[in-house]
Amino acid sequence: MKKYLIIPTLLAAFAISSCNKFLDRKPLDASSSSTFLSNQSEMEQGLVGTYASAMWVIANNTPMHYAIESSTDMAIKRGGNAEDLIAMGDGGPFLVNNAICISAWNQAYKLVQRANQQIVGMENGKANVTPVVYNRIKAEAQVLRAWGYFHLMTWFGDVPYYRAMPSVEEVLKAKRTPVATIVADMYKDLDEAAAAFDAAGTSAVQTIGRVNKGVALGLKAKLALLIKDFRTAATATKTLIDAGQYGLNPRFTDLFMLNGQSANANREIMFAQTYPTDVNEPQNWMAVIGVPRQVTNSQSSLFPTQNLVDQFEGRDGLRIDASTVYDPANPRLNRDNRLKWSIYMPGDTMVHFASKTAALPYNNLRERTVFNIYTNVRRKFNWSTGVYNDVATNNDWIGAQAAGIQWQVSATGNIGGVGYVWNKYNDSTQYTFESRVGFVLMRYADILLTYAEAKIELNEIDATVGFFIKRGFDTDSARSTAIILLNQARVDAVNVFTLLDSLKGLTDVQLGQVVAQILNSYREKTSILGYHISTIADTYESRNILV
Amino acid sequence: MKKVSLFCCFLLMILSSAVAQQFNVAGRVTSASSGRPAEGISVLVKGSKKGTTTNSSGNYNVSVNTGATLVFSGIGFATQELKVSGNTLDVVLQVTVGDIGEVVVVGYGSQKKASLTGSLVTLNNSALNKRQVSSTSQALQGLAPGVTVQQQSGKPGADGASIVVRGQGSISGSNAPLIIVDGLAVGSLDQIDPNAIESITLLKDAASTAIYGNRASAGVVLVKTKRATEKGLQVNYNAFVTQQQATSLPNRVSGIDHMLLSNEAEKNRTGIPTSSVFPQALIDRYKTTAPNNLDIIDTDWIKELFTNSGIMQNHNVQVSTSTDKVNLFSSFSYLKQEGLIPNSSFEKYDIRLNPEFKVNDKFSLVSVLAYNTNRTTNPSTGSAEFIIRQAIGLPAIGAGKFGPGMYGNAAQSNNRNPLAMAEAAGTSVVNGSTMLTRFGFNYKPISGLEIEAYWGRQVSNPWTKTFVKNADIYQPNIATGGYSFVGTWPGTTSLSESYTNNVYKTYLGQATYTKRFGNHSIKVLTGAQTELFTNYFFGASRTGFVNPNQPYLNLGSGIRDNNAGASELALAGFFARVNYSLSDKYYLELNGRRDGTSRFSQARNKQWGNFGAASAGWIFSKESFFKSISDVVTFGKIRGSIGGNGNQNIGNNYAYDAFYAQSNYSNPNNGTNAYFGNVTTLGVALLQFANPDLSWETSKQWNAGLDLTLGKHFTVTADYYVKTLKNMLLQRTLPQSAGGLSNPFVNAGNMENKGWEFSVNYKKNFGKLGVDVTAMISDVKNNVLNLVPGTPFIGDGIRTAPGQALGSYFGYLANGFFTDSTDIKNSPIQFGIPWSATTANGPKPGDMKYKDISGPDGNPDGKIDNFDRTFIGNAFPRYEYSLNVNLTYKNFDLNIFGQGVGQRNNYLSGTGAVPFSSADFAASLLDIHKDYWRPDNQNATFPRLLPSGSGGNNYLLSSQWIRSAAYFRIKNVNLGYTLPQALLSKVKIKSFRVFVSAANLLTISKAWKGFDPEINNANAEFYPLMRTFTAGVNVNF
Repeated sequence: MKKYLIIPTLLAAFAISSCNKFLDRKPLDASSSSTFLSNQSEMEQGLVGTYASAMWVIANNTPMHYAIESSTDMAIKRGGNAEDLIAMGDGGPFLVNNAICISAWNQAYKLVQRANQQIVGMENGKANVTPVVYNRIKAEAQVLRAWGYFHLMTWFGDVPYYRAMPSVEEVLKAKRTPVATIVADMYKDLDEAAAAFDAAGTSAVQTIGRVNKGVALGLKAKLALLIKDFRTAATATKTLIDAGQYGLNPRFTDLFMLNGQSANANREIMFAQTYPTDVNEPQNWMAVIGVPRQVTNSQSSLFPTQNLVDQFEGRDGLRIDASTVYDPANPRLNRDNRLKWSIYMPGDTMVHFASKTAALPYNNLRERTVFNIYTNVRRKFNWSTGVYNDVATNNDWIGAQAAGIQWQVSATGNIGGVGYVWNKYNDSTQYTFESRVGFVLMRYADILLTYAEAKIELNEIDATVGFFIKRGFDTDSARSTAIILLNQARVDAVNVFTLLDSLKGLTDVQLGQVVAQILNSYREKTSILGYHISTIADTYESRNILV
Repeated sequence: MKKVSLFCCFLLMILSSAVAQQFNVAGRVTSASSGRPAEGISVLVKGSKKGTTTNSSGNYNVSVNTGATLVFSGIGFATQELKVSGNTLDVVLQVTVGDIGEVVVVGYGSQKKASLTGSLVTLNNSALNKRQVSSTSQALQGLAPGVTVQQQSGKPGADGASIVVRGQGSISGSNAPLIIVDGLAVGSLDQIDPNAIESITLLKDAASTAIYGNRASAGVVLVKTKRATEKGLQVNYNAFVTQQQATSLPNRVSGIDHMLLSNEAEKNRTGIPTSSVFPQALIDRYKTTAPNNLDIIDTDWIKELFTNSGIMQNHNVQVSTSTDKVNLFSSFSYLKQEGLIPNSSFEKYDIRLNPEFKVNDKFSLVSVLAYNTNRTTNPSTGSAEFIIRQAIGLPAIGAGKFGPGMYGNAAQSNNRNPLAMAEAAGTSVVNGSTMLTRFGFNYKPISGLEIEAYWGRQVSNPWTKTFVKNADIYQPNIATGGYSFVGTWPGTTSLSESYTNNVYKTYLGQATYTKRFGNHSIKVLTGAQTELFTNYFFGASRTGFVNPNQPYLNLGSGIRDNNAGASELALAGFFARVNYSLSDKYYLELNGRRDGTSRFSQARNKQWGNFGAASAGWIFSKESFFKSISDVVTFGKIRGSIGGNGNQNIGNNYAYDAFYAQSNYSNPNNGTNAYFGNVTTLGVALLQFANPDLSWETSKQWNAGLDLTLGKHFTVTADYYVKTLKNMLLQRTLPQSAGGLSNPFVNAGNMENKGWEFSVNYKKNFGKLGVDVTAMISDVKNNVLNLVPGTPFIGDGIRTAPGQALGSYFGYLANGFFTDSTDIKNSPIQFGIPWSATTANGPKPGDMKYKDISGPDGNPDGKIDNFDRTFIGNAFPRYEYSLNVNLTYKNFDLNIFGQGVGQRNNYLSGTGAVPFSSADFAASLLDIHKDYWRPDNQNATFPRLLPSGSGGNNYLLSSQWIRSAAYFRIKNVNLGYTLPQALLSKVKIKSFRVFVSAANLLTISKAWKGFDPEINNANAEFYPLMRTFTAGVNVNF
């Protein structure tokens, strides 16, 4: 009897020994989380997927940062309820159920988790990739993860913290982690990333839209400011500045135009949310939101506020309440040029790429209009005759409300236009409704300011501030001048340290004159070279530019 | 390894033949009632204590002296004594009480019915072939208590029924029982030709199913195909021809009624007595002019569409022979089923060879070879069901067809015409083929030990070819009296093909040892099985075909696309069963399985699990204290079982894992591409949240049963059970900080099915009249115990919530119609719109009135809103019953089979319930809708008429639209006549039976006219069930 049981026993033993292998079936036509990222090309693909989740938008085509910044007192939104009137973001108060908050939270965590999956998943293929490449890919994911956490913490404070894709249980049990803990980890990650970029010889700006050592250091400084760790902020930015790989773009306007971004003079743009020119989606609709209604009967819905406009100094570099050149009756005149490059005010000449196809072959696709809210006419440039015509009905006319022509009607009453519309990111080389202009996420100018802010907060009066103090400026005005100088640096294409070097040896009086002269000279020069100058001269525009 | 075992086999053969020195008698014992082997029959040499028992094949082998007499006895059989006259002695035992002596198929073996301790039902071929069905599953309806069989469609090639054993087994996983054919797991019972089936066993309780481990929680269906048993050449020919027609179709209204009622609806909408849609002059012209398909169009869409013959024919030839060395059964079948609408048909060929080679008394080779090829044809531009719904719903004034190839626009702005869809816009053809093969051996080295091993493989290759052609749409040109070409529909031609290769492979090895020691009888089974399912498909498509008669991919000039996919599923298990019986009175069974599946994570150790069950039975009628009433209760047994099993069939082969995929940007949450330097770079990312801790759903079940034979003619079986399903897979909604991936499945839900089953059989011969009547009734109540934390319910109108049956209807309680404005003013405010004579969208007399049953704080608040919804029924059948009457008189036989459901709800919606329903097309209304509310028809079924899309709140899911779907149906009547033997002997025909039968002859139900009560959730999108009339022959040469 026993011997007959041997056969099934042996069979069973054979089966058991092979069964675990038999049951170990991996997906055939799909890339499993447990096996993928096993070689360099898979890792690069995964990394691209991680980058994809750094494209943060709301309502599909508006950059998230823009929406969030516009939810501050910088901007006001046209909308259907009283809450919108107090500029509280999309769909109501900036509370937990607000679409912007939800979207910001969701997209930032999507980035964090994709980066986590990338960083952990890459370990599947660690043996198949050289350490230099492996570390560089990992570094990019680390920077992106830090980018996600930086924003989460900026917007929400303490947040759930994951360094790997969590399990169901972990997600359900998650609690908030203090900002300081997360920042400390991010410092390490970013330092590790910076070293990896160095080892890989990653260029100062990889193709625009990718991160690199500069972004890693810049982000480290931003994280440091978040926890008021000014020492780290100063060190990180100083390292970056000292490396000398970045400078300021000589043309402020280039920063917000597709061609200018592609050229990226002096690599001022360090990181940007880029849009494709080879496929239709996604697009950047900031111009659509900004274009005033008198152009193409469009649908501007987000407006700059008076508060923002008033932040721009007079041409003399002084706040408008102290400026001698500021004229309240003509507020657009004698202002820091960045005002008109950012915001159109009544009387400014606007150029918009308003039609995609021409009705007639010789029609100009661009509309040139003088921004007007005071009369019911549009001052529209006729490209054939070269003169401005007054065209009937102006959808931005403030008298429209009185006349009962209400273009901004809501349940709570009329919401008049505020008389300001955005010019920034209105790239007249891009069809307004399908713009692919990138959204700038990190600029060298920002790094300079961060450095200055950190040093001042540390009360370390070094080169920038100390320079003026040595020349008899009191501490406050030295700081103020230093900040103005730094602030202007973004316009003037001048490394602030180089500038200071050139000013050595001057007397205080001479110095004051030279600074003002340089600043104003650069402004004029820049504006003359700016894209607003049309080849066809017209009085309105010339006046606008030359003033 | 294999060599070793083969060597062992040979060795053992030699040894065993060397021992055989005495005069041996061998033979086979079969049951007279079923013709099937009788197991466990005691074979005693009269006057001695020497003897044996028959094995599961009914075979015995005993050594005797010359002139000995053998005594054959067993429970349920009349004892028989036979004198030995040679080396073989086959015996047919007469059945005394019921069929409890019969041997039935159980998991990995067979068992005497009397010794069963679990709950199962065996259906023999004779029970199944009473009904002439196109799909095997249909034949099971009403035959097994506790097994709910529901047919939802009469569509050729897709008219199989769903089989649910003892209530709903899963919320999101599969609810279908495991189907095993000759030891091979198959996807559908319908792929097996009913002609070739010897028996179907439905395993219901955990004791019966636990040996199938993690695939058994929804029950198991075991199919055994026929094998040759009789000596000589047996040839059977069975054939029938069936005329099919719809059990019911709704009646449509005429063109005039459509216009009149449209006008009335418009008046109701505007409140202005003069408003109309159709001018009175047109209506008057319709009244005086006969339809001419030009300016007077009155299309009877159903009549125009239902033009196919509905003929079904089936031919089956079976040839078998049994010799000393070879048993061979072969069967060939052909089925052709024409549907009711054009391009709706099914055709099937089945060839089967079941050979068995007896190498010697101990060793035999057993194999199965079955090939099936079939072809299902359907229209390509829309499902047959959608085409039929259009025919039910389209207005009669829409133009149907003007001539060959000239279709009207059906009064639809998009020119879509169901006649064009069915006839002219191309077909979707599935050519399927299945090859099922099995090869193995049976080896009985010593008495009581049986070793079996086989290799099995099934390959199926569905090849789908969908060709979309353009139909020409015309409209009448009243000026010329002719027709003008409007355009083509659908406008784009395309061809898509897909080819699938499904392979299933299994290896099984098992050993059974049976031994009797005095009063003790023991049977031990152990075995191991591995199974592997692989799937591969590829498909391609193109658009732009110029020639409508050349559906070949290379001719498409437009968009090209292609696709492919592959997956695997591996299963392995070790199983064992021990049966012990004492004095043939007390029975105990333990069985279990250690089961593994590739569906779960190996890394997390989630692949293997243990399942087991225990059961016991007591034949109390054998006790001495019972003797006094043994004439009344001739047989009595109580049974009890408890056990657990699992359900690994969760739909996805890799649910524990997540996958990287590329996805183009379409919204902020799904893109995986980046745009470095404004150039698209394709990336990948995980889009699902993986839960590697996922495991199978589990089920615990206990069962108590009673089998009784009362006197000689009544047998009764009753069962009560509680089945608890645990760890059911449900999606857990995670916070967005998890990365916003699709929510993972977790093991969370619990559900309970409680039910009872009762069946009684009465069998008696009154002279030449034979009576065999079976009545059965069963009930199962489903109750969801809990869902995932944080998910109070799943679904909305059809809602799964704790304390309710799965997928219960959740809606308002209808409270009649508003009679007048006073009634509206005095009623709770409905949906925030108070009564106002001037508000166009406010409630009006004739609108639905709902009951105010709750509010935000749980109390009625004088408002009708979301808070006033409640559970108002579900679609699960309760109190299923059937009555099966078999009568024989002389050469006549008659079967009448009725089946019904005592309680069930059905939700009617869409084109079925809403006049002028606007879903998918601009509809007319049905005859039943004429019972709408009017001031003079207050007790109407339907609210006041309103045009498409203006029905307001009248058609919200409410008790008004939940109808009773209880029914009783004469499912089958079969009358046969067997020609007298005297007539046949001259032409060498053994038997010749002719029969006529009819299915779904009569229905009693409260369903709306035109809607079959068996079809769920009717929105008029269905393929009707069939009433059939059949004539056929069974010939045995």
